Amino acid sequence: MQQISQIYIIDDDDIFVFVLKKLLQKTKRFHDIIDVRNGSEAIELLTVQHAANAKLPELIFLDLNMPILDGWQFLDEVEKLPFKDELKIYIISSSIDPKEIEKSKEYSTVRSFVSKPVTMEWLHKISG
Amino acid sequence: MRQGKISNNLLFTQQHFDLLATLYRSSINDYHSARNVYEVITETAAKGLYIDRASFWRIAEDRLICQNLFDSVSGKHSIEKDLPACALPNYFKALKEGIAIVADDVLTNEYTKELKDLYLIPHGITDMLDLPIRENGVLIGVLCCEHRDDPRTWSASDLAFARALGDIMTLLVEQCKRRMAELEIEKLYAISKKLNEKLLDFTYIISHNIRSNTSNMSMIIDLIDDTEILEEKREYFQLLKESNNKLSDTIHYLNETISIQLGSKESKVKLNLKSEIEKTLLGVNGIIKKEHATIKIALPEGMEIRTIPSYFESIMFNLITNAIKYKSPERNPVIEITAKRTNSKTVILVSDNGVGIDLHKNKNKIFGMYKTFHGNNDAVGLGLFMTRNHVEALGGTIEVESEMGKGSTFKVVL
Repeated sequence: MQQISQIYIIDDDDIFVFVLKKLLQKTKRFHDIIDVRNGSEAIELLTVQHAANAKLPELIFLDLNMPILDGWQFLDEVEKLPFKDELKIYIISSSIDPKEIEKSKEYSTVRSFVSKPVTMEWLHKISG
Repeated sequence: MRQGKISNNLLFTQQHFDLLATLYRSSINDYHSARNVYEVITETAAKGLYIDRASFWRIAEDRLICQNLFDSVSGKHSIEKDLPACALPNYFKALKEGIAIVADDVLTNEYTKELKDLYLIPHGITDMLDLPIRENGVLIGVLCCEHRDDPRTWSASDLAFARALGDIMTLLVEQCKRRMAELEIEKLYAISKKLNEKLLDFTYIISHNIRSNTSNMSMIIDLIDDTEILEEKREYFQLLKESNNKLSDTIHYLNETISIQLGSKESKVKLNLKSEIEKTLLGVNGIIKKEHATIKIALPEGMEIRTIPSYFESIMFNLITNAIKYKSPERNPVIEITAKRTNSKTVILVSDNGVGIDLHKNKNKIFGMYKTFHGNNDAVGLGLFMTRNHVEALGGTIEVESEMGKGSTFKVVL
């Protein structure tokens, strides 16, 4: 069974983060789960990890609607990072707005746009 | 009389020719309104016919109603008193049947002598050239060219010139009306487009905010389903309850928003601005004291505002409590409330010395639903959204200026 070394959850919804962590643990494939409350904290963390030559997260789950630096602003910041091509980002949002889904395709770092809820099947699929 | 430059046999005098050419070359864009068309026509008539008075009257059921009178002696436009139709049967008959009433001597003319005591003698009119104006074949008005003092014999050029003026006026007024109708349609189109966009926004807000709760709930239910451990089930059940409460709150606020947007049953009343704001301050006295906030009010004593009291109170309540809630950690909150009248609107400014908002990043979202900026845990992101809804329901606007670390100023125009 393939293992995912590290994953970021960028989301300010406490209940969602808690529940998603539980689901991730149940798949037994995700070990180092790091959650941050907005895009700004995530950029900071990524920069620090990269500077320390630490391994970058294998996956990033990104919410869109967040305070301080929202999902889109985070993606714009990621574009400026020299190591952006090493990042695999999944947008995980409550949005079903076709305009937002279309917009997500403009970012090469975004693998896909997933509308909540997240299921065990999907987690197995992307980690498999 | 000098003849026109196109041909020696031309009907028009050079003066008539030139004046008409100017009018024919004009475009509807040169006139602001039908009234402005009347003014130009009566002025041109007075100039071209060398007369003291030119006027346009609209025919109502039982009277003639003056739309515009140009007096070339004073150079001023005014309105003449209505004339009763019942006293003028022959005059009306001539208007209905002909293309002009040409009266060289108004007091003896068969059609105009009815006007003698009512109009002609009081105004000293001796000669008249009156043109019926029709719309869709039906008589709707009359263009009156009135000469005073010395006897006058109207020439063929006078008649043709005046008739042409009448026709140009009809054309221009028609175009003016069409332009007005077009503008009205454009305005309605813009309004319905805006409403549609708002509706679409609202649909996405609903789907997003309701979905975020229901999707959490369905994930929790999956977790409950997946475990046999009772203790774990209990924990998830607690989360389910929490999610359900959040969903209820969301629906409650959405309902509130809809009822604001549908318009209040309360109607606007006149309020004294200062005493109204002081009333709101009484309601937030507790938090003012707790946070050591200073509120400075600089409002003109007698200033009044027409508004819906509960909406106004909610707007002021939200702005004041926000200003305190997002205080700077380095100083006690100081809030200034000022107001002024500009262009018949009331401009209210609420300034604070709080943490400020990064408008560069948050410009488009500050008044949106569930948008919070400070990572503050008790920020729910509904206050400014509701405030904007209240302001817009009152027909007003709200803007913000802010500097990080220095403070924010909210500007409400009602």
